[in-house]
Amino acid sequence: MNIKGYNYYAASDYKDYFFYSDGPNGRIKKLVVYEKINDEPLVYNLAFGDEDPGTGLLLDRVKSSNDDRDTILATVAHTIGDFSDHYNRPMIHVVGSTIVRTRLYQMSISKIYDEICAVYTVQGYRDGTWEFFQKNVNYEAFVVQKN
Amino acid sequence: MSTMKRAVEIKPASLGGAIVNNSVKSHASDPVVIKKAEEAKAFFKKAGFPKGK
Repeated sequence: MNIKGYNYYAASDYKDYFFYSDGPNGRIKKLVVYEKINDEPLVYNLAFGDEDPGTGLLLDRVKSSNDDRDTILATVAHTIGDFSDHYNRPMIHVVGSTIVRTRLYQMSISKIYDEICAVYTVQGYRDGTWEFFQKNVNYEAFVVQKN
Repeated sequence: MSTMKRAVEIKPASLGGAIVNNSVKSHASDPVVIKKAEEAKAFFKKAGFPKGK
C-alpha cells in the first residue's frame, strides 16, 4: 500500500506540518494544521493551505495551480497518519474552503481510496446524514479516522 | 526543453513519515485556523457527529 507524496515536516507536537509543492509555478510552502474542536467524541479540524510568504499565516483560498494536486493531497493524507498516531486516532474533519475544493478533495480521496480504506475509515456527510464514503458521490464534508 | 523533477517519494500510507523539524511554527493562533475551527464546530452542531470507526 503506497501513495506518492512530498517529504513533509512536523512540529514536535505533531499538530503543525509543512511541505513544499514543486511545479510550473515554482516552490510553494504548504501548511497543514490540526485543531481540536470537540472532546467527546474526540474531533480535530484539519486546516490546509499555502503559507503567506510575508506573514507566515495560512492562506486557505489561494489557487497555486502547480499541477500536483494529487501529490499534495496524498501528502496531506500522510500527515493524518502521523497526527492520528500521536493523538489517539481521533476523528478528523476535512472540508474544502469552497464547494469546488471539497469536490476536488472528494475526487482525490476516490483516487486513493482503495489504498487507504484498509487503514482509514472515511465518512461523508450529505443530505443531512453521515455515511461511509462511496466513490462518485458528492459530499459536503468528510471525517477521516485511522482504524 | 528542460523538465522539472519533483521531490516525490513513495511512503507507506499507514505509517506517515513526518520529519520533526524545530522550524515548524505553531499556527494555533492563526486567524484562518481559528475561523476554520469555529466553522467546523458550527457544522457539527448542525450535522451531529458520525459514529466512530
